[in-house]
Amino acid sequence: MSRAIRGVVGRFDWGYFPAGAINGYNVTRSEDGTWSLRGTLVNFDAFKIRQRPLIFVAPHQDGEWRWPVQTFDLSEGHGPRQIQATLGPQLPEMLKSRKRSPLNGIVVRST
Amino acid sequence: MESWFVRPDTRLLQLSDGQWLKVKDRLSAGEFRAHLRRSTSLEHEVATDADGNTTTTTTRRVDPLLQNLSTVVAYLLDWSLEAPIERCAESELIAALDALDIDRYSEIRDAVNAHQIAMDRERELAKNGKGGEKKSSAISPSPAAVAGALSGSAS
Repeated sequence: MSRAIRGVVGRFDWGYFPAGAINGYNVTRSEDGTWSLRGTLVNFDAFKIRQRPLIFVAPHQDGEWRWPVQTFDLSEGHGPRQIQATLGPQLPEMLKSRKRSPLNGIVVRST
Repeated sequence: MESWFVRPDTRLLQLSDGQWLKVKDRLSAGEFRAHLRRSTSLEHEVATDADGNTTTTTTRRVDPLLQNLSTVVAYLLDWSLEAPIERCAESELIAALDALDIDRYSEIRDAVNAHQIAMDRERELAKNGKGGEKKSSAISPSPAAVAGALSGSAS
C-alpha cells in the first residue's frame, strides 16, 4: 500500500543553507519503497538548489520529516513552478525539544 | 584542489556549564557582505560650495558596537541554551543575544571571535601548505584582512 503525505510549507536545505521554499506538496511512497515529491517551488537560490546533498524538509507540528533528494527536475523559467523529485529513504525525524543532542538535533529523551 | 565555493560545514564550540554553540566553519562572500552591512552605517554629508551647488558625500563607517554582534550573528547557527534560535530570523537572533547576561554574551562573543581567527589561520596554513605564499593578496584579501581594513571608515 502506498503512503502519502500532503502539506503546504516545505523547503529544500543544502546543509544549513535554505535552498528553496515549497508551497504545497505531495510526498508519496510507492510499493517498492521509493519516495517521490511533487510540489510548487515558490522561491529558490539558483546556486544552492543545484548542490548536493540536498534535503527536502517537511515541517509538522512536532518537528520535521526529512528526505535526501536523489533526482530533481528544476524546470526553466522564472517564478513559481511545479517540480518533481525522487527522494531517498526517509532520514531520522527531527523533533522539537529543548534537550537536544549537539550531533544531529535528535531528541535526547530523559527517563 | 579545494573548492572555491563555501560548503555548509559546521563546528561545535564548547562553552562553560556544558553548553555549546553550532557555528559555520566559514562565511561565504554573500554572508561576509551581509556582515559588513550589519556592522556599518551610512553617513551622508551635504556640502554647499560658493556657487550654491550642493554635493552629498556618503560614507560607510564601521560601528564598533555592532561589529562583534554582527560577527556572532554571521556565524551562529544554533546553541544548547533554552531559547531556540535554529533557523530563526536575524532580528530574533539579535533579540535573543541582547537578552543574555553580559558575561554570558561575552563568552559567546569570545568563542565566535576565537573560532573566526582559528579558521582564518587554518585556511592560511592550508594555502601555504599547498602552494607556498599567497600570489594575489592585493586583490583577494581574506575576510579578516578586509575587516581589518574597514576597522576605521570606508567611503
